[in-house]
Amino acid sequence: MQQFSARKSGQWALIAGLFAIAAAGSAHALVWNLQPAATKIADDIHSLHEYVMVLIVVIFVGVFGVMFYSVFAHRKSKGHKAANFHENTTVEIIWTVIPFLILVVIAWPATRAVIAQKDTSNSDLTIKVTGHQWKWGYDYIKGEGEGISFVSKLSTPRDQIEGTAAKGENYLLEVDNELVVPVGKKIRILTTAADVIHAWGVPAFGAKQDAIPGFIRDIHFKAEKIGTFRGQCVELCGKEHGFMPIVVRVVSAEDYTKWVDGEKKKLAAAADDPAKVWTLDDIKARGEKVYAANCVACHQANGKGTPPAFPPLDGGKITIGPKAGHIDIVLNGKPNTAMAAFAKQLNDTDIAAVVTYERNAWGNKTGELIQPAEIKALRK
Amino acid sequence: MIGWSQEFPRQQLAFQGQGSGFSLLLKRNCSISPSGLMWVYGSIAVVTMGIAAGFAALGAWVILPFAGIEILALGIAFTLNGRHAGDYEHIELGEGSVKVEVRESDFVRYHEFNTAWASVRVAGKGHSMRVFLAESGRSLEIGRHLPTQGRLDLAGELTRRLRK
Amino acid sequence: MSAVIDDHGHAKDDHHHGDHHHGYGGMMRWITTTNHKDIGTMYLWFSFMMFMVGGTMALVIRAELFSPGLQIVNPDFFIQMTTMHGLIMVFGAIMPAFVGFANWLIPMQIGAPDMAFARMNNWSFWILPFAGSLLIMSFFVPGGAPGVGWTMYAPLTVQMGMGMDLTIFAVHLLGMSSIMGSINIVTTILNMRAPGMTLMKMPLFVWTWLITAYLLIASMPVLAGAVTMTLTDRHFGTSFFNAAGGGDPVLYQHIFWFFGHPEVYIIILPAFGVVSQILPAFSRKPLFGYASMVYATSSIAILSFIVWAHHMYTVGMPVTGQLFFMYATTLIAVPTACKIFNWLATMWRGSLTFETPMLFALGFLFLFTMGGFSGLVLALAAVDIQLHDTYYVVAHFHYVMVAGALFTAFGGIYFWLPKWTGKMYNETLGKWHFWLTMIFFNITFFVQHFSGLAGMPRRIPDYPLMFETWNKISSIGAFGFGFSQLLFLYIIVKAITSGEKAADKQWEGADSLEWTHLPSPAPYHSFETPPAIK
Repeated sequence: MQQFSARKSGQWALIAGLFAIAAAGSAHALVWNLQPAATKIADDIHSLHEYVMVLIVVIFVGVFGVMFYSVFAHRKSKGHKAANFHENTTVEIIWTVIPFLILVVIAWPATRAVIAQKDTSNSDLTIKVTGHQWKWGYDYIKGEGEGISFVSKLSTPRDQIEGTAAKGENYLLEVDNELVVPVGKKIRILTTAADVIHAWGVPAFGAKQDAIPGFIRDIHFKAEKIGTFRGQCVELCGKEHGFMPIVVRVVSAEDYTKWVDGEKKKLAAAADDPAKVWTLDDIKARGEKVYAANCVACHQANGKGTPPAFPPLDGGKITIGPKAGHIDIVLNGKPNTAMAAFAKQLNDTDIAAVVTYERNAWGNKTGELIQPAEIKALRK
Repeated sequence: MIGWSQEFPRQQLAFQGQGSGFSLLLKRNCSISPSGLMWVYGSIAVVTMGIAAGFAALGAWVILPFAGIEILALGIAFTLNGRHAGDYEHIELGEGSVKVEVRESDFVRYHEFNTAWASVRVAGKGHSMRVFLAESGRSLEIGRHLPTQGRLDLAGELTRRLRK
Repeated sequence: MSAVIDDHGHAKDDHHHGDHHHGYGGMMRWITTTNHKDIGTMYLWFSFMMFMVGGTMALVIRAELFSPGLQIVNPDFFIQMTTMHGLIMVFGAIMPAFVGFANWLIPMQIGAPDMAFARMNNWSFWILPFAGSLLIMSFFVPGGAPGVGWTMYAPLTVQMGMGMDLTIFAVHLLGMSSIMGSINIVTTILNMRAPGMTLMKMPLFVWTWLITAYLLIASMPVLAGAVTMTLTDRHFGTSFFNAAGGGDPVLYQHIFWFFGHPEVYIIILPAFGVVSQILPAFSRKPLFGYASMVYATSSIAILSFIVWAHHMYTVGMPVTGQLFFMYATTLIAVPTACKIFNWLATMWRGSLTFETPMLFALGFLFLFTMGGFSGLVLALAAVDIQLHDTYYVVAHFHYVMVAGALFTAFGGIYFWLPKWTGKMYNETLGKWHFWLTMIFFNITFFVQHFSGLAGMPRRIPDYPLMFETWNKISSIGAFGFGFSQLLFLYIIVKAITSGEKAADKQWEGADSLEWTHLPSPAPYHSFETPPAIK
């Protein structure tokens, strides 16, 4: 016990080391705080957080001031004799009341922020967001742009993730189709999911909402700045959970109108004619693209899958078996597995293409060609 | 530290009575009364079953059987522990006879031994040591509520007094 | 006339040499033992083994997160690691550690010879190795361990392989062990106190365990039900949590957290108890506000049943629900603050020395308060929505779980090791262990507040570049933290095998029965005769 004073200096060196490491960290340009706010609500959250942090720092200094004073002043090695008090009702009442009062002080701004966050009335635009393993579906269901619908997937190339290529600036935070919304308009987001629970959120908007299969929940945001804002899925949803980002591009009202027009034209042009008759090579080439976009994460580029969770397609029972079974599983998925139903995500041509591709790629040589019309007929 | 056996507070077997006789009441150490135990049980059961019933109302009825089994187990444990709370042995050495009154859960039995014939027997060793009071053809275990040391003390004292 | 019987020489011998093992030696002794001290020891070693296994998993996680990109493990295995790390640490390491303390200390602190149901005590321990093996076995079945997070949210659980079933079974066994342990502890504390040991004279450690056991009994069936419904949803076509069949996935979360939040206090309350023994001992002053400590602990326990949904602010509750759970949650700060002030008042004007147990207790006080602060931030529903499922939450619960439970477990082991083994550990090495643990813990977890604030989600194997520096620092800290624990193992083994002999009352200020009434090491059978309590 008495050796302590002799070792004090050594322990102080360790404490100094701790601060040195902390200081070394701060030398980098780092993110220290919440992302810059782009909505009023995110701004409220910032102020609330700062307000509470100030209180915390004050309490911290008070409480640990007392503790460290005691640690230094009341030590035995200095010859301090122990007092013998062990009760004082007045003091105990006081320090029960004080934390309570602090809470009351916090409660007011905290309550206001919650109420503001929850008010989804009077929105200008309503967008339904559907979580899929592992991509986001967006449907503009009310307001300007009604009818626009697309799927948004990670666009970071696989080789960046695997470390064979240099990582880009927006590594893991970039998608093929960004959600586009007008600035200064109240956007109501309805969330749901097709398979498991996901969570849609954009930190700069102070918005986050679980997407729950079979249920619809809503949040709202009103971006006050033009720009691109990025978030990630924030509820564990399976193995690619870390790879389904959310990107929202906030544009001016005019740009938004332009985007809506362009999108509508694109939709009309891209609409595949399900009656078209394809050649095997053409549809296989298209199928390879569909496969790369939708299937490769589980079934792998070489079709070997990662059994047993994700079965191989190369020589698989279904992929070289009767084609009806193959089309059925792609259209309707397999319950209780990660195999999703693609009926609503892909059009007839894409499904025909990917099934044809799978039945003729790698070691699979069925030679069968499935036309979009067949899919159309099989849809329920 | 040799001093420990002295500082260690020992339960003192007080042999009270007149002359060579004594009266000894041996009880288990129970720090809660059976009714107190029932109150605790009731409060745990109400809370646990209340929670389970609440969830059952929401559709998650599977919690209910688990809560039931658990509360049943707790009940059995408390019963096993509590029904022997009132157990005692009352050993009285009088003129010519040793009277032993034994209460075990709800039963009270009286035994009487003749001092001229009775003897004390010790069986087993260490912590499984047991003490019997024996007379021709019958024997009764005594001192079951005492620790090993206490049982030895009892056997020693009783033997000494029976021989007087 | 009254007579007092003196010691008989042969009887005393018997007491000291005693037939400890009831005829068995070697391994059979440990398998068949019903002695609370043996069982306590086994709990503690089991917990340490699980701590090492769970810790290794944490290091796999931190190694993968050292740099952005996928380097060491695939995403599937990564999530299995986060899941199993959580389950093993919570159910395999922390809970058994404190049950170990309970076994060793409760009988000695209330003056009882053993636990009320000694045979059941043996069973409740020996269930654990089976449960632990099942958890680890799940890695080796087709599909691997479940990758669902320790919270096992539906409906992701339905997609998992056989590993999920093994995990569910393991959770059942662990729950069974906990319930048996709790029944034993409640009965022991209520019925086996020495005469004069009234409830309000019990050491605070005993009080916290009485309350904890109550919480366990009330909340364990809820967990058992939750995992059973997961099982039937997976295999028997029920739809408790499946919207397509009329169920509700969010119901699972309500059920899980209804168990899960009391569980948090099940872990932390015994830690409070340990700290309440250590601080007065090294302050050489009685615990300040004993009665208010008991009341504060009870209020925390009661409040723990009405705050569960603060784990679920983002599921989309109505605004009134959000507000109710926010107010209830912040209210917990009041009794918790009360306890911290009481501890500070205990130290105030004491005569302090800083041996290893005291250092860990002070470390607890400091870090747990920090965890309390971040808890206050997270309690505010609006802010939580920003921070939910980010690394801020990871930092928060490691501050309360590691700094709260693990630090006190270390402190408690150093504190009672002399009593348990009769041997002293090396004080210098003990202090090294504390400072290394303290420093590396903060390096690992403090920076996670920042990555969390900036929005880094938890349970991701790869992350955007802006989080890189914080993750690097955190990974370095984690490896330091992990390897420092090997020093702990060395210190303990060294103390047991060749430590100096400990005094019967090793710590000047310690005042509970095991220090004042028993020699060191405590005899195999202690308090067969209840001590007299003044």
